[in-house]
Amino acid sequence: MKKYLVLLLALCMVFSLCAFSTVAEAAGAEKQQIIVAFNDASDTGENGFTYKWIKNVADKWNNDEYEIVIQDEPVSDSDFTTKMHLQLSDASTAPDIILYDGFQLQSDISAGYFIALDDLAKNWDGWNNGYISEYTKGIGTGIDGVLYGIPAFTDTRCIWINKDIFDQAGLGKDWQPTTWAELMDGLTTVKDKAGVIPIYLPSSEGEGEKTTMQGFLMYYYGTGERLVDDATGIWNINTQGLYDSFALYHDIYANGLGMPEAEILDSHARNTATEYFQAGELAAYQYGTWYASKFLPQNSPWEGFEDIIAPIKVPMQNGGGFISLSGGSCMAISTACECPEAAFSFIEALFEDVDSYVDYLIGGGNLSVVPSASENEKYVSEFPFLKEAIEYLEFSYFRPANENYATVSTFISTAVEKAVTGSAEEALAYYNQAVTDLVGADFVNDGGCLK
Amino acid sequence: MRNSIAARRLTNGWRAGDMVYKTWMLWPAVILLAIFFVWPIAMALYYSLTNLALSGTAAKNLQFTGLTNYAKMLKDSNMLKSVRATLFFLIGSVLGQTVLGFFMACLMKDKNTGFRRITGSCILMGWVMPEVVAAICMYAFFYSKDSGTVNRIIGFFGAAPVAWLYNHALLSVTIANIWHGAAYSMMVFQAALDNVPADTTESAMLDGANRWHTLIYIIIPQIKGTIFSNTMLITLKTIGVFDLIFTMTGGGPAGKTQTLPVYMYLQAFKSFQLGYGSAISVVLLTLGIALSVLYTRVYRE
Repeated sequence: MKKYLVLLLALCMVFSLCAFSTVAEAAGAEKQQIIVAFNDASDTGENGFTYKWIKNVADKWNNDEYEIVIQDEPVSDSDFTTKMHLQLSDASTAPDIILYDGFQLQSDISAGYFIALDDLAKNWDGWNNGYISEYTKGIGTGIDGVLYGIPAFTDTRCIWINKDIFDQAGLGKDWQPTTWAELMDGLTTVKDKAGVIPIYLPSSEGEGEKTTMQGFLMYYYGTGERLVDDATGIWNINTQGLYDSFALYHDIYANGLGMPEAEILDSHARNTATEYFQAGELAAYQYGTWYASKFLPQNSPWEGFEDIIAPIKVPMQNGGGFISLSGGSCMAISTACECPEAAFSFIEALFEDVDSYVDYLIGGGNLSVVPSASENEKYVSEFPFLKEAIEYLEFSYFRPANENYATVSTFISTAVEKAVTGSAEEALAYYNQAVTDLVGADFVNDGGCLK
Repeated sequence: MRNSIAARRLTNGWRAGDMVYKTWMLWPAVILLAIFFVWPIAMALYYSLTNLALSGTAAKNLQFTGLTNYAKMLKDSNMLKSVRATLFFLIGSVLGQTVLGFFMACLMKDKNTGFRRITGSCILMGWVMPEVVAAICMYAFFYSKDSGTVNRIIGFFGAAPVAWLYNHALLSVTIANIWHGAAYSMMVFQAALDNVPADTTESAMLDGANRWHTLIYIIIPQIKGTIFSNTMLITLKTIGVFDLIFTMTGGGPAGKTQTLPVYMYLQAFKSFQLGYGSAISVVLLTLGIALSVLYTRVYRE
């Protein structure tokens, strides 16, 4: 009896090894596969708006020669970037088309992961005649002026306020600060009169690029300075503007105008903040204009949110205007792709199917880059606060077109956390050292703020 | 006569063939060790001397940069913080696990088998579960709001909830690691204590020694070998702990729980600097080797 049991166990072990070969066989099917990878951070799977967009178009596009395989990655966005890097460094694991966040694009172009799309795009009618304005092409263009990604959408950033709370605090439903001082005063008034947490803004190292773009740069650009000179590649360090921006962050938390430290530095800070916002315990939520689409019926519905919340603009430091930043993702084709023409024709199809594209835009709260979509009736009527989102494009800036931006962004988020828990001096000192170590002393311009 | 000659030849032949036979038997182990152990370490050492990165121009143009990464490490304030956090975590875990494990083994000694089996299994479950699961359990245990287990217990006595994972992050992860690994020490010491001959303890009792003296002067010297090997094993295991810390705090508020493995991961895969991450891993390896050598020296004395 025991002998037979042992024999059975041994056979089971052997057969379990055979499992590998069946997977390999499925991959080697007759049609050539084009793998499309994208980040599904909220793990919505097949019901996700991105998945549906790609699937709808793929169903119509698939032909005898090619087949689209969807690789949705339900991981956080920084893990997605890491995973893509690891996969792209080897041709056998690299996906063919990636829906990729523009901020990482520059440094990945330098790494040689993507192919140039100029030749493929010049024959596409949609590109030549159908893109809204020249600057959206800037999301996908490398520092060398070559096109590497077809922009899929763009966006703007703002602060969302709970109109009722601001009204209750005596500031009125359409409060709009025009300087940093007014912003701080307004938040202090809310704290004193309404007794709720005044503002959430991404402040932790863990939130990475969000802390940098939705948080820090919204204020830093309002000092009139920029991170780096795009033409020369020289980074500004140790400047008054950087110091003031770190100090603003420090003051928000030091004066109790933000969420408690333990909560804001937790990796789930954003979700906790949304809970507070929906419960009326948070007055302002600094993020992107796409935030409202989260509350649409097809995502995580919030009854009557259109009447409760409204976007306001982030003011410059001493007045004179407002600041927004624009990001966006692009469709890029990896160098490992064996059939770039076919892959590009699928990308063309994605934008030419206006209905599917519009559903994607509304679901994600993303702004269209194609006129045929932006004039679409459904887009105009169902997109929450579309008018404001488009209006903010007027004073919106793109991220620096520099290959080191992605790494410097991680330094900024670490520095912001230091400003929150320590002081602005610590944050600036760290930032100065980190950037100098990365790019070398020849590529930094010392503003002389800290001696 | 003939027998002895034949015997000699047989012995000679067998001895020569024995060597060859033994060497051949070792080859599979040596090859596996070389591929999965020596080769990765050599690659890590090599990459630590380059500017390997996952993104940016460096990803395309791998350059040999010599000791630049190590020089960077000496100036890196985060590195110093990381080493300090690692040492605290290490010393705390080793002491905690050894003492707790020994204490539990002493308590279990001479109890009936039924009791040992039930209690032993309960304690062992903490060790058997994967690190990530243990981390989730301990996260719930130390959860900062009043619904966390510790906060509920101290709340029962009227104390306010403490944000353990924020204000006492390193202490919390150390306690979590002690809980997770103590069972192993307990098992090792149980076996060691069972092997202490009963007559030595009995004669000590007859000479008038109380339980405490018996423990310190009779039992512990006899299990010195076990204490040494157990300590070394715990040390080597603890310096590599990553899952537990990363799941519980992600490197901690403002880098307070960024031990060397966590810092290495963040540098290599979040900041995409594989070269620098490899350099940190080499430091970790050196630390492990240094500690092993230290222990061996101390034990020999």
